[in-house]
This record gives sequence, C-alpha cells and structure tokens, in this order.
Amino acid sequence: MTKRFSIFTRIFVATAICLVIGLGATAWALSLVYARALERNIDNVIESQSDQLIGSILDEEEPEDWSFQNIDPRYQELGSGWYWQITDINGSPLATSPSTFGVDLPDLKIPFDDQNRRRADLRDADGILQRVSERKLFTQHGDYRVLVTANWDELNADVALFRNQTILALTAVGIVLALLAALIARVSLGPMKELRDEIGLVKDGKAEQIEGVYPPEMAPVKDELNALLSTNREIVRQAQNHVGNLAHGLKTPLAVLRNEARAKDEIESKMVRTQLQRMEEIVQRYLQRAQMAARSQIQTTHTPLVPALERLLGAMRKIHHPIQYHWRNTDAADALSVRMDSGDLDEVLGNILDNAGKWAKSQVSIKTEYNHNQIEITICDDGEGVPQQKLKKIAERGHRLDENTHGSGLGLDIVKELVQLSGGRVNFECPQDSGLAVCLTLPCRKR
Amino acid sequence: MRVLVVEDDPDLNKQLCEALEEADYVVDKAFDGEEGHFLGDTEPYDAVVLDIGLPVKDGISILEDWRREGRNMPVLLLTARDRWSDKVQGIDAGADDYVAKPFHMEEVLARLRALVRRAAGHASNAIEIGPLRLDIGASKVTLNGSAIKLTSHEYRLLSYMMHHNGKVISRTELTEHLYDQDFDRDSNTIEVFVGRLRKKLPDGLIETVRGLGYKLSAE
Repeated sequence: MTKRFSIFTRIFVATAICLVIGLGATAWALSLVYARALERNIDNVIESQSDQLIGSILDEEEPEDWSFQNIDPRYQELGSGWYWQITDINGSPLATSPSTFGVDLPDLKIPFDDQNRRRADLRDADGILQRVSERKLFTQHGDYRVLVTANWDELNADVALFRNQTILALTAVGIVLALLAALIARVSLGPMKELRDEIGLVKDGKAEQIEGVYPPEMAPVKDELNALLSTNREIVRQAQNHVGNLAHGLKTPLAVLRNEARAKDEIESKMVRTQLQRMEEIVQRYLQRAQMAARSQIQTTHTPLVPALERLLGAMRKIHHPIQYHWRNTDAADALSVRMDSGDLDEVLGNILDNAGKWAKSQVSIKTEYNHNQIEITICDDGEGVPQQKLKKIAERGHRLDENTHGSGLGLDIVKELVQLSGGRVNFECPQDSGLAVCLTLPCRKR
Repeated sequence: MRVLVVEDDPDLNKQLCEALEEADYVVDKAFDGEEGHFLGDTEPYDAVVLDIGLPVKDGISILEDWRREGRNMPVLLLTARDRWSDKVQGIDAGADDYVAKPFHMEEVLARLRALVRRAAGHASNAIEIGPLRLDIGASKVTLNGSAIKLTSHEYRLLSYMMHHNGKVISRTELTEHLYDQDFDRDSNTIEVFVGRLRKKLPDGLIETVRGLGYKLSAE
C-alpha cells in the first residue's frame, strides 16, 4: 500500500512550495526591475557625463582651454572603472578624466550608428566589466570623439547585493507565512482531530456515539457516523437477541430430554445424558459469548450500587430463607455508582450472594467500603469455607467445588470475567473463623 | 399436597406432573397462561410450578395478578432466562424461588418441598409432632423411630395434617388439597382414610373437632 500523507503535511508542503515559487519569482522580478533601473541610471550618468564634456568642448575652441566642471566624483578616483576621454577624430587623446591615469581605454572597433554613437560592454585590462559609450562630435574648430565608461561590475554587485537582501527578507517573510500556514492548517484541521479522537473512544468502547460540536462542513459526517453506529449496534443487538432466543429456546427441549433420559435404562441413558450435558454446555457457552460480546461494546454506563444491592438482598432473603443477610452500609455507598451495566452488576452480585446463601450456616455478611474511586464489597458467609489448595481453583472456568450440587459451575467465571471487563478485580479468601469471603473491588464514581 | 403445574411444553408438563405424582403430590396442570391463571385463582394449591414463557399470558403477569388478588401460595418459577436480573424480576413479582432450565427434576422436587415446608412455617426438613416424625425429603413417616407403612393417600393426608399441625382442618380443605380438580367432592373417602390412619397411629393423635373437621394433637 502506498503511503498517504496526512492532510496537515499536504497543506503545509503545498503552501511551502507555493511560497518558495511565489517568493522566488518575486525576488527574481524585483532584482530584474532593480537591475533595469540601475542600468537606466548608469546610461543616464554616461549620457549626462558625455553632455557635460561636449558642453565643455563647445565652450572653448582650444583643447587647452577646456574646463571640466560638475564632473561625477567617481571620474576623479583612480582606477575606479569610471573613465572618460576626449580624442581627436583619429583617436589621439586630448583630455582624460583623472581616474584614467595609467589605464588604456578600449577601442570599440564597431561602427558608429547614424547618430554618430556607438556603445558596448567590455572588460578592461584590470578585468573590470565596463559599459563604454562613444560619440562623434563635429564642431567648427575641429572634430572630436568623446568616450565615457561606467563600471558595470559595480552595477552587478549592487544588483547582487539587492538580490541577496531581497532573498533574505523574502525568506524571513516565507518562514513567517509558512508558520502561519501551519497554524491555519492546525486550526482548520482541529475538528478533524477531535473527530478522530472521538471515533477512537467509540472504538475502545469508551463512548457510544460522537458527541462533539462540529463546524457545518463536518456536522453531516458526524450525523452519518452516528447513524451508522446506531444501525450497527442495532444489527449486533438483534443478532445477539437471536442467539439468546435460540439458546433459551433450546433449554426447554433439553430439560425434557434430560428428564426423559433419567427415566430410561441406566446404560442406554448414560450416553444420552453425556451428550445432553455437552449440548447444555454449548448452549450456555454461546449464550455467555453473546452476552459478553454485547458487554464489550460499551463500558460507559454506571449503575447505582445501593438500589441494586437492596433488590438482590430482598430476593436472596426469600430464596435462601432462613439465611440472614446482614449489610453494613456506609454513608458513602448511598451516592455511589459502579461502572457496570445494571444487568452485569446484578449478575456479579447475584452469583456471589447466591453462592454465599447456598453455603452459609445461618448468615451472610456484606461490607461496603469506598476508597479513591473504587468500592470494595466483601461478601462473607459463615459456612465451612474452602480449603486453601482449592481457593486458587475456585474461579477457574467451569470448576465446581461441590459436584453434588446443581449448577453449571459457570457462576464465578461470569463474575470474574465481568469484573475484569469493568476494570475491577475479585479475590477469594478464607479467614480462620468464617466461610468463604469474596472481595470485589469495582471502579465507581460519586453521583 | 396439591400442586399446579403451568408449562406450555406438553412433554415437560407431563414429565413434571409424573415426577410430582411420584413424590406423592396431587397435580393439576395447565398449558397456557390464561388457564394457569384461572386455576391458581380459583383452586387452593399448596404450591405452583410456573413457567415464565407461556402463550396467551406470561408467567410474570400471572404471578403479579395472583399476588394482587391476595393469592399467596408458594410459587416456583421455571425460567430459561437465568440472568440474575431476570430472576430478581421474577422474585420481585412475587415468586418464592426459581429453577433455571434445563433442570434436574430432583432440584425442582427439592425446592418445591422446601417452599411448601416454609409456607407452613417449618424451618427444617423434618416435622416432629410428639412421637411422629415426617421426613419431607425422603417422604417417610416414623413413629418413635420406626417407619410406618402408609399408602400414598394415607401419606398425603398425614403429611398435610403434619404441615398444618395444631390447626383445625375441615373435610373440604382436606379434599381440596389432597385430590385434583376432577375429584368428586361429595365422596366420604376422607373419613375412610382418617379411620385407617387412626389405626396406624397412637390413640388420640388425630382429634375430631365436631362440626369443624380434624386436628392433629400431640397432647
């Protein structure tokens, strides 16, 4: 499977690419505009310098009378790359700028245009790239050639400096924009993350449906998901009901067959009884699985402890009459809700209380104690108890301590499984002076 | 002791009736909720074995109606649904005990015996009146430690009287509790069985209370 990138990565990378292209193009365009401006500026300098020189030539007839004023200071600086020179029409120098000392100015070797001008970019002997412009001048007292150069490398350096600074500034802007893009992506994708977290809770069985409030674009997705979840739950519930009904429906024919087998010939009925026993176990197992599957879906319900316990104790006092059930209720218990579905809480407490009632001589005592979001329920009978070596086996699957009593031996398995599912634990102890004590620790909350 | 069995499965109904009759109960049977409710409402039963899943009217509704109408005979529920929430619902509706299907017939018999005994106010599984001892589990009566040989009818009569020790029991009550609904109520068989029992028991144990009936007395 090809790796799919997260939406956040996509948004961030796409934005970053756009920023690099956009800002790169901006830097390039700005450099270009700046270079053009500088070039125009240099051409203007050359042009105005030429005009100045021509003005000086026109003012005085003799070259020795020429005076050069308002000359750009760059033409004063020795070896600056900014030079001018006035020659006669044959190229013999008549006057040069102070900067030209010791420099051989280039011969352009290209023809003059119809306006008596020629221009080229050349590298001089010092390796400086220069823009060279030469004009022919025809006056009454002589013909001259006026050559002016500008340092083109200086312009390039300026452009490079400008480009570098622009890139630097735009990189900073780019980084800020990328961070903003990441922030926007994170804020925009926030609801999706919330949805993902909520789906995770549903998957882990910690929530039944998606509850959060989502932006209008996502609200329909939430509604569809919830509808899907509830349909799914309904299908599962129906399937479990069917399994339950099938299993329960089989119990009456099983009861008939069992009693029929009992009445038949001993040898003949032994095999029938064995097979019946297997069938009953299968029915019981699948019934339990259906119930367990239903439970594993959702573990968010809380059931008030006291009403459940009181109701069960009422039933136990009737079923196990004259066994006395004594419950020492603490104040805290009244406000406690155990993290279990009410049917499961009935099943856990019912099985333990029923067992205690079966084995008690005269009484069963129940103690409840609240301790840091947990309730400890100890149910202790005054029967003969269980030998230490059998205590470990007591909650093993299908294990029965007394084979002479009726029952499938599944009661304590159910207790153990349900308690574990709710995140609690169950211990079996046998104190010296009493029967079996079952200690339940169940997660709970105060109402 | 007269027992009503309300179970819609004909085979299971038959098995229950046979097992109960074998244990010296007099048994009436019903196959649906309506018939069961009517019988329980009109006949004096010592106990009822009631299935929950019944056609026409379910067991829990029947039970609630009986209790509302003041019928307080012990009721043993038969249920395929053996979750504690189902059982507690049955007990809350007025049942005295439950047996989950598929069951061992011995379990039904044991629980029914315990219910009948408890309803008559006896805590243990044996009832002693003077030299007489009724072992309910074993369906045996001993006199000074030696077993008395009783016919099925004699046992039922003596067992009923021992369950209701000290109380004056009318002939009608005895007839109602010792025979099923099809029995001819005008016959004088009760007098015949009382006469036979008196010959097997010490003198004066069964008193005749003139105009009212009989009373078992250890005095």
